[in-house]
Amino acid sequence: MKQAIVEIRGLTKEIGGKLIVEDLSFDVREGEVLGLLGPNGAGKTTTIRMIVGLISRTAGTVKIGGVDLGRDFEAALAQVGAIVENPEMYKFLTGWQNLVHFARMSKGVSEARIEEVVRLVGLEQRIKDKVKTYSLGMRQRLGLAQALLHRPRVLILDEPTNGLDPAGIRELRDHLRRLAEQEGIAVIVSSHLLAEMELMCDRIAVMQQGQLVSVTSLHELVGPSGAEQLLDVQFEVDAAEPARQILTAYVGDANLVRAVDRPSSSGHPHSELLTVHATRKQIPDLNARLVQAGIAVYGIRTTVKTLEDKFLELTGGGGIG
Amino acid sequence: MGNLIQNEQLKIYIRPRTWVLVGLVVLSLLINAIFAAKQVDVMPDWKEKLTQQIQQEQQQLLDPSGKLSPQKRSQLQQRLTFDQYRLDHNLPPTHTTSWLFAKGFAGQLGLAAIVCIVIAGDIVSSEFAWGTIKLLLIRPVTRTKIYLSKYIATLLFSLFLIVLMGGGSLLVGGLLFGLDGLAEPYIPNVPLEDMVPGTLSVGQDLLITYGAALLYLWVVSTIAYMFSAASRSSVLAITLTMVVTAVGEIVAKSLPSFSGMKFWLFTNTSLLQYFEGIPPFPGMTLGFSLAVIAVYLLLFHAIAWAIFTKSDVAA
Repeated sequence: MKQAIVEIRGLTKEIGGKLIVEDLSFDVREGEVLGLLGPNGAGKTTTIRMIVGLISRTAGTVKIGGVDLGRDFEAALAQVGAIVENPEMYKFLTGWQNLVHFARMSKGVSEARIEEVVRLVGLEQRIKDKVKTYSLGMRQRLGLAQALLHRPRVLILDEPTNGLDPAGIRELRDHLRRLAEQEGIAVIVSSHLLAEMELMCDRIAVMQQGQLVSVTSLHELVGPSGAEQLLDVQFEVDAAEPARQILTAYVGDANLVRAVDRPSSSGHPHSELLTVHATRKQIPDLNARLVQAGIAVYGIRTTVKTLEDKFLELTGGGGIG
Repeated sequence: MGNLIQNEQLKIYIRPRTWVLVGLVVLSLLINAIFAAKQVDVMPDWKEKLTQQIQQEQQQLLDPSGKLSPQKRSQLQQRLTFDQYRLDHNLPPTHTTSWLFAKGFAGQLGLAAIVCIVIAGDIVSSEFAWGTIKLLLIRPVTRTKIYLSKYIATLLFSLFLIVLMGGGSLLVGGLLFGLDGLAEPYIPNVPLEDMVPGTLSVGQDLLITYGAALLYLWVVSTIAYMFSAASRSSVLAITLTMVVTAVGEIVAKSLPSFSGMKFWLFTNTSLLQYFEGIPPFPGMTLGFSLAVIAVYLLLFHAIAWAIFTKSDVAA
């Protein structure tokens, strides 16, 4: 197990008697990308703002690299780079001037380091232009650059993909993965976009109504299942009723998920779609029985639970609390 | 801290808006110069007129009817001394010199005060408006240091403006009237009770005048800065400061009989009254005014600092 860089214990925020974030505890380890996932209003942004000190904590501690944020703000924040929501930079300054400005606020950021970061995010061509001429994607790159200047051990990004086009999202994702894997940076990303998180993160912390619902590795959450794991198995057959009897006799009534009639269309005979819960091992058996009973099997498909299914399951599909 | 102040300076002076405001001050200086150049200089018969005036003053001092109060008498005596000194040292009363021009320009502080209020009232709140406050506050720098660096940058801006006004008006005045005469004695039109003519040179007086002006700008800048840090809105901060300053000045002038007014901030902000005027209340001294100003400024900072460092940045 790698070392935990961010340790959050009992983090709580109360505003006007309402608990916005309630008793949150989790760790982020080096080289790990942790996704903070939840519907709008779940308390993700409040949590992130508490970690970087923009919002005060009602209770709980945040430790970064073993340093308590409440005890020594400067030493804790020296290890953190962040983009909170949109990376708003000084529009009347050039990209380079912006970076120099922020570099002056940390110790030991040399001009060579600024140049290195500019190359890393691929802004060499436009760095001397005023930020007001930048596209959103370029501002995002500049935002990432300012967060990386002082070689942070933790990178915190709040809704980083907001307003980015698919190419921009992909680029950001690649950057994050590379930083985590090659430089061992711990990354915390918040988002309400499930598909995003699935591609970016090692572990997902699901939040709902200010509480942590679960922290699981992506692997556990949605990953490939073992031989005994129940899957959704869909059989496409020509006769629904006999097939159903055969299937339920084998897996039990309770494991029949649904039966859908599929009307015939051009070049495609009428068929029935039967979905049952079954293990991977049971599939050949089930198929053999159907074939033995003279039922035509047009297709067998297994569907793995997506993060979205899992997320809805965890949060009960609830709306904003 | 040096780095932080450097950052704040960069953000002030790189913006065209700042230079438009500074340009307005320079423009007002040039307009002043045009008017000053057109003014009639020394009246040729000033010596006869001054001699007449001195004779009149001597007549009044004889006081045949015995109506003269001791206070009036000493004021009259003082004026006589100064008029005599002027005559003896060949110093015409209306002659315009570069220093007098520079001193006159320091009297027009209104525009400079507005410029300082705009800069100070905007320096914290604009970061909120731009959204850059988030990137500023997540650095390994405490909020107190950010607060201080921004405040120091606003004070330095006022200093810059005063140096520009003083230096610029001396330069323009020098071009128009020549630069000699800075070692001449300073003769105020209304001399102070205990002043001895010839003890203060015009150069020294000019420094005092601009020093007092700088202090005034620092007071209004601090008020604007307080509102900027506390309200997070530039428009609100600038408007409130202008209203507070205007009302404060009016109140200071409108309640001359209530002696508690000597603790009012704006009764104390014109420090020049200790050098060439009469303080509105007995017992007021330069030290007293400086102390009152210091207490007010510390109070403003206590409020603004507490709000700036403690409140959440949620937007």
